[in-house]
Amino acid sequence: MKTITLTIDEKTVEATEGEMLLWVALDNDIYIPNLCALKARPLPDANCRLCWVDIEGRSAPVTACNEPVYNGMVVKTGTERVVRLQQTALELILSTHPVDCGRCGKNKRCELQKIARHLRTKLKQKRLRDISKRLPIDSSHSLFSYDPNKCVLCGRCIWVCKEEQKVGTLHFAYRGFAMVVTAFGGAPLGEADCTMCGRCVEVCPVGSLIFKNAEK
Amino acid sequence: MQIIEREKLNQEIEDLKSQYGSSRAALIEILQNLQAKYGFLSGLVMQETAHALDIHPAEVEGVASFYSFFRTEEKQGKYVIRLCQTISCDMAGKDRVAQQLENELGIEFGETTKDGMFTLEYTNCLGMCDQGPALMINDRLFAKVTPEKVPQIIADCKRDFVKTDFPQIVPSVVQKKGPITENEAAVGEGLKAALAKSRVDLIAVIRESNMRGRGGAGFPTAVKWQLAGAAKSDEKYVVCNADEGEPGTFKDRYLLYEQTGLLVDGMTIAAYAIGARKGYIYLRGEYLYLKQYLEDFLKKRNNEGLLGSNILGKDGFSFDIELRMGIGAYVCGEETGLIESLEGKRGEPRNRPPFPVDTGFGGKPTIVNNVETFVAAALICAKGANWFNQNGTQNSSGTKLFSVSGDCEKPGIYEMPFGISIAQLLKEVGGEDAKAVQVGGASGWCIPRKDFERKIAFEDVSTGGSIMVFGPDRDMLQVAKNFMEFFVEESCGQCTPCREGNVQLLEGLEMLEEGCCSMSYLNELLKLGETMQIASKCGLGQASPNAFITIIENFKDEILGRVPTTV
Repeated sequence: MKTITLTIDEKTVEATEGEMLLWVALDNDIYIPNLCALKARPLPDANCRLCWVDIEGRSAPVTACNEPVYNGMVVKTGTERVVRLQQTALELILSTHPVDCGRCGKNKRCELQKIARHLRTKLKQKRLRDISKRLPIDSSHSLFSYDPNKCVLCGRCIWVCKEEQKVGTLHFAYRGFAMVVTAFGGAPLGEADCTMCGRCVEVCPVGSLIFKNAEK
Repeated sequence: MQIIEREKLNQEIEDLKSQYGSSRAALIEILQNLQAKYGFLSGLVMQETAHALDIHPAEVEGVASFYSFFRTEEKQGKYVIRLCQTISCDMAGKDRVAQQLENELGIEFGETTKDGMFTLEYTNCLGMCDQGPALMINDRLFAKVTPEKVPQIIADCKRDFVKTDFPQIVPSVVQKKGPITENEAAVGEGLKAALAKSRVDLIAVIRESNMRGRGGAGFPTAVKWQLAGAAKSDEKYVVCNADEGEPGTFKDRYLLYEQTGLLVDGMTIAAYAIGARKGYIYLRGEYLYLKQYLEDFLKKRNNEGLLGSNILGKDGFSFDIELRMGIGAYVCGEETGLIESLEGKRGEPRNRPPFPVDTGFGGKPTIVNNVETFVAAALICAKGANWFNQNGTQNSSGTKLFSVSGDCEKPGIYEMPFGISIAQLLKEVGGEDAKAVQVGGASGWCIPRKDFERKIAFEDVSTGGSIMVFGPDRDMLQVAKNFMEFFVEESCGQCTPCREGNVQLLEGLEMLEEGCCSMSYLNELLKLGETMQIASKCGLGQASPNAFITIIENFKDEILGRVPTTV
């Protein structure tokens, strides 16, 4: 593995050639908003459309999670067009996400809060209409509860359940705006074939999957 | 009793596995067969299928619930009536047909009659835009349906179509032929000429023709073939994208049925050029009525030595084509969504790179080309590159098949050179009084009258063939709404901008309809649309706001300040 040098926001950093830019930046304390990426995952989906960056020589911004680094790469994380793309993605997510942080179990640990702070924007977005869905909350599981309304459809829980734990209980059903994370047949998670590993809750970036016992 | 049922089901799944294979890629075909047999995919059916293919039932449900032609909740009727709701059929009067269907059957859309005979559903574009309103009943298609014809159609269903006046396959209307459509006789000729050349020389001919992909994106065909040909792999694939789902497009329907020989020639030539031994035709579920015909055709080609081993006596050149059916998902017209579907998965487009020419079906180098591209390639091999590129413009060579529908005197298929102006085309089709033309389908652009001198070509207004004409009295807000409803239904949902953005745009149009949308909010939505064009993951998502943006920008005066109609 070849060590290379690249520049992110005028900071020179070292990395292994071919590593994904998002992780290189985060490892060097340069924050890039992200929701769906998982470091262990070899082929990221790049679905949340938040981790935009500008790379010298490229005509349009690219997503950092699936952009391999190379020697001499010059990256800018805060250009005007990058921020605009990130802001729009965040606003779209928040237009379906009930914002009630004070009463949310993920308050102060939520990735959406972190992204909003980074973009210096409010969580209660006013630009777009509220199109949240008001689906029932599933509290059937002994270990955690699941609020599909807060879900940002990042797919992290599905990936750890299937690829890391080799269980595969969770999946995406339906498509488009109706797409939802669910167990087979829409069964309450308390009745699904769960091994109680809790990994899905650990990787949830928002307050959708929350441990009932907050100490855990 | 239940145990016997389960054993029977398992036996059926085993039989299907021996027919379609036991790999993940067989999942969709197995589900299609089971749905045909049981009327829907029950929990038990999905569980047993999952067990047989050694995957989690959740994964089967993920696939089954993705495609609009699969049903997981309740049994469908013996006859599923799917009425096209897309713009051309809408303009041709689908609402009255819908009303009469409800009247005759005593059910509403989304319901099944108590006797289990009929299910009534809406569907998106059936590819009959020039002969609408259209509806599909199981594997039959009905064109130019009027409220008066509805009772007869239902009566024919009840008699299992033993005797019916409606044709099994509705003929295409070709209004203007050209070099491509006139060349039925050349079947086999292009293939012979191609096999006499080296692979390098063959691709050089395609390069010289300057042909760009006929599906709409316009990628140079020779470059695609060259890249796939150069990729190192002993397994490569040729895929024909016959998922003609772009609203207002119906020219592939014609080519698939009337120029089948040239299509298969073209695919075989491509296989030779890149070194593939296997090909797939991915046929949209809406064209189910062509399945048997195409399967018989492929069998015939095999018997004639034009498919299979040592084709036309060429030592060591073998190629087979398999037909695969789509199940109602526009997004599978995007080439990586199509490949995912071929692999038995949800049709969610992939990140690019890697590109299919490098990492395609099953991770192997794959070319995906449009039906028309293969047909044209076969003719180019038969008649030479200059025969093709003497027509068209420098950047958009050749003639193109246009599917023309909407408010014009002579809707149908027109073959005309790239580079003609919209005004010229309108004159040809009898639509001179149009106030706007949608070029490129729902994902294309709305061109207003003042811009009718613009040219149809990749360098100006590009299209995969769809041309929809809007007459002086059309309500452009309703047109925009129909397009956005289409995208909300057809977005795969994986990426944020397309999944949420299209819902926001549609909500905005509903506000305009109610007369309660401010100019500043409308401008926010236009900005949102522009961001979606950059931020969405795939071509579909990036193109989804095009119609919204171009209609709003050109028809603000008509759209703003509506007085709401009382309901």
